Amino acid sequence: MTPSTTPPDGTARTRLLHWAQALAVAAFWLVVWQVAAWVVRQNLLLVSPWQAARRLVELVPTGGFWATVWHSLARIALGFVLAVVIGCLLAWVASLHRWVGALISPLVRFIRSVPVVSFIILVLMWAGSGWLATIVSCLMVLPVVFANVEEGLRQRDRKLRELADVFGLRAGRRWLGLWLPALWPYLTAACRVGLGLAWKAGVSAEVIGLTNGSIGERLYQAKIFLSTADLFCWTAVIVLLSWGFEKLVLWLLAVGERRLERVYAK
Amino acid sequence: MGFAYGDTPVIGQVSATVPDGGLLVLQGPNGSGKTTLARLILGLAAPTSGEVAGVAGRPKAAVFQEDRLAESLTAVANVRLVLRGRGSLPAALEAAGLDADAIGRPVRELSGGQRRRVCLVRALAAVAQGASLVVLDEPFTGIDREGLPDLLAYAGEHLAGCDVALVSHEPPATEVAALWGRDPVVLTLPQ
Repeated sequence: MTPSTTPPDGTARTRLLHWAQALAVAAFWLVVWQVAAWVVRQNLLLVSPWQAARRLVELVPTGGFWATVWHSLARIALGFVLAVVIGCLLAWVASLHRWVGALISPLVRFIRSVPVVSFIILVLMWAGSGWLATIVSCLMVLPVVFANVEEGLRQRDRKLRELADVFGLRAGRRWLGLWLPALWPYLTAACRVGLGLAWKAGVSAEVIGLTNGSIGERLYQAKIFLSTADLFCWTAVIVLLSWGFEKLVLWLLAVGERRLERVYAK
Repeated sequence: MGFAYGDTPVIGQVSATVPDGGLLVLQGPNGSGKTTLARLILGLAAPTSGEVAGVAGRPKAAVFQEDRLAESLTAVANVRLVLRGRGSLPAALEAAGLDADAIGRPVRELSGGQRRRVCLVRALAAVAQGASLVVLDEPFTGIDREGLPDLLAYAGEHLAGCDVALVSHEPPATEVAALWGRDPVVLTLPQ
């Protein structure tokens, strides 16, 4: 194969630099972690990144690992999706009339103010631990989605409404051509915040509720058996899952935005 | 008819009769209520006295004083949005002086003059699909001098036979009417 003599173009070079920078930052913090582990010299308190990675390599080929990952991923992702759907619907209903908004807004503000632990205990009493992570993730993300989408709906340009009235645009065209493209940035911002919340709240619920076969249960067992390597390993798994899920959702939102922009473009 | 915001009169009693396919020129100093009158004609506000007869229920089109474009959409998408079915919009936009590059970009990236052309094509495309009443509020603002004659001719050709209400300082509405070969009904609003 002949090596290319063409220098990378601006975009490729920028992407390369971006990745190099990300790797350098990760390497820096791994070194800090390793040094801290050397200084502490107690595996019970702090394992090295090497030990955590070795534990991960041991776990990954096992069926139990993937079953656990799927269990938590499916439930937390479902909670997030439900929060987005319900949050958007509630925001839309609230935007229909001032009185409806006055009824719904305090409820959502109440949900936002209730500590996550209270919800976890309540849901445990009412519904058991099976779908605890789903319900708790949903309840944590819902107010964020509601607040952002409601704001987006409130900011709908009155002048564009008049334009739609004058040209006699039907509801479908108003939504596809005017409101959804304008709402999309609000929804994206809500999802950015909500994604992290969903994982934090979902895994916390699993730990407290000891949901069978969940990552939260593995974390709890790591604490009981004083297995710090497991604790760090599963924490790394949560971070990776959260990161991957966030990338996937934001990619889907970006695709959706491009699609919306193209609906009437051809 | 007249119009007031609460106790503050915006338009005193004015009256005009425009024949079918006629051109109504609205003129007057800044703040005299030309844009408000344009809104009344479009049915976006109701007069506080009298009436605007013969406009209700008619398919309408407009170039508003502000662009009122869906910023993330392309020029083609903004025009297509108000139309039924599909037509050769890129050709219409090019005929109105937009190049191929501008046509495919989100309108937020276009210059003031290019955006104005998109607004005008949007209104004219609606006319081609049956809108019989058009309100043009400063439709040629920001259009470069070199491109203006062609755009005026293009607009005049597509508005033939249509009821038009026109507000235009630059070029003056009466000059536009002359260029379009139309005998306007001029309604001058006092300060």
